[in-house]
Amino acid sequence: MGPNGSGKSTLANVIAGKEDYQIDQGRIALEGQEITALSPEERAHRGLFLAFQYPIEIPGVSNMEFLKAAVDSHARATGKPEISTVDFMKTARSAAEQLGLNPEFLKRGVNEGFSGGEKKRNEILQMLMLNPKVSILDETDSGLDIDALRTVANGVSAFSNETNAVVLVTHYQRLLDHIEPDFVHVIANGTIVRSGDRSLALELEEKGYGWLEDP
Amino acid sequence: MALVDAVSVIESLEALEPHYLPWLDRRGALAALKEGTLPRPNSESWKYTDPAPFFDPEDDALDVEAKDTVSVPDSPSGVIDFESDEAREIVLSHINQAVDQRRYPLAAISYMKIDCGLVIHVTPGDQTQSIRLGDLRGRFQRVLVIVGAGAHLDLIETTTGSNRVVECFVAPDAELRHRRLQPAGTGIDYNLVAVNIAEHGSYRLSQYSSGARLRRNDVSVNILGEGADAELTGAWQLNEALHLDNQISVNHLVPGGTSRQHFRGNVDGRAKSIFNGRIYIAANAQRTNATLTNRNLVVSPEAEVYTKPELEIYANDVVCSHGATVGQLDADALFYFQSRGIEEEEARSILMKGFLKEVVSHEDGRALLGIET
Repeated sequence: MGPNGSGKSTLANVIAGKEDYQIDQGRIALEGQEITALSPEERAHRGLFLAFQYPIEIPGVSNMEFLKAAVDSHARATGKPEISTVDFMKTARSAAEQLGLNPEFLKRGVNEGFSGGEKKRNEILQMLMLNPKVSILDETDSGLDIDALRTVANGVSAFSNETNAVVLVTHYQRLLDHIEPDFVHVIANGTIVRSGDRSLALELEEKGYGWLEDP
Repeated sequence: MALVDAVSVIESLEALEPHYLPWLDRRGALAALKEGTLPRPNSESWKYTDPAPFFDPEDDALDVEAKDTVSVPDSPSGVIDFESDEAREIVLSHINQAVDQRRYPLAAISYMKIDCGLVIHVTPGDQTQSIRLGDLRGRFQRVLVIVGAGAHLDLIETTTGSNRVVECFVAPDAELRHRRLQPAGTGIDYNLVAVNIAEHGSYRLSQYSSGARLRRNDVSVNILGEGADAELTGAWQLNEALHLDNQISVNHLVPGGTSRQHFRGNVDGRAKSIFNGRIYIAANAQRTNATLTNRNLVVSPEAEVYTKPELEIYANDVVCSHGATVGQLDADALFYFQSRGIEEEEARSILMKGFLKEVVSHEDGRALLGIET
């Protein structure tokens, strides 16, 4: 959590490997393995996933083609057999229904003509299909109405287990009404200034971020 | 770049003794050429394509072995060879009515040297016709496509390495859907499509191209009636050192017409793509609505893309827009793919194909461009 401009999205994108940023100092490690120098694809193959704050629209490529290419890439990279098209379609359709997305959307271009909420749900759909070890959800809750928020929260909660980790980037408390966090970290000016558990989130909701500046 | 030897070209044409269709009056073509439409060194329309190979005075009818491949429908609508008696009246009343020979000297030359001609005629009201036009037995080919009032024609054309002029006449309330496939070639290709559209007629061109050693497409569409509509879309995938030059002109000569041009290209290797899209609106052509877009993806450092939208507007109550872009793949789109584990090379390939797919709806077009899923 953190105020606008604190560096939450930048951190998420740097971890995912966006090339616009240059790392001067520090390292990124996933399950003890250093990934600082790896390409975005390699980080994804190791189990990293980023749900974008503003998912891009790609009209000429269908959601199905995109998703299948992602799933197949993961299978190849991890030495697993590629899933058949039939099984893939079944899994994709059921995940779509679970998230309140019309399965027909698979035929449309990636995020083409989607509302903000649908784009966010499409990100979660991709997460469910790729089964990552560490998912960073960058402001997934912004732009969602009450029902969509509950659907996404339920999807994330059901996905979360002892073998994976989910990092929710948000500056609102309301998502946490539906998902109980194990840790809460607060970023301000690019640094983690406070860590705690759920009660820290409640305190922030009450007092805002200003009080954190006090020594 | 070699120069066009205008004197030799005209001399060889004047010496012609045509055996094919001796009853055709060729004097108008020669006059148009003499009035000086042959390319000069500063000719804008031949700026990026060497014209000399196209205007070779020695270029003559060859002994071409190709069979005529035109499907003949079983109906009053039909395909008629120029040499048959029933063709004469149609040919005389239509030939060169859509072609501006001064603007298109290769069409004038092709008319003088014509060695193969076909009429494709769809009778008024006939909505059922679908005709495939492939190889023809000739070097200088002329095809007249006449779609009668209220009729519909699907014309699926595969262009070949020759000089071909296709003149289309779309009658009131008629529809011509023209799909054009241009496989990769190794020679010097010239094609002119010239279309006259009458009131409430509609012409749709879907052009899917690879390149050739030199390939020049001229497209000239005349809006001649209120409510006439032209939609021209196309895509090209150019690889190796192939060349493709598209010069399109949509001419609004009356009020109340609409037109849209939307072309996209991927240019790779050492290939060269030239596109000139023109909208011409005459002074009386009020309430015209015309748009033009050309988008190009440059894939390799040696590829060359030249694109120029051209608006020549003399009326004052029109809606006109144009856009032309040359660029590379969107970095954010690439990152989106990579963040899902899709390798950069595969991501580029999918995105490039997707870029063309948006304007290519036909399966055979996708196959020609190598963008099937």
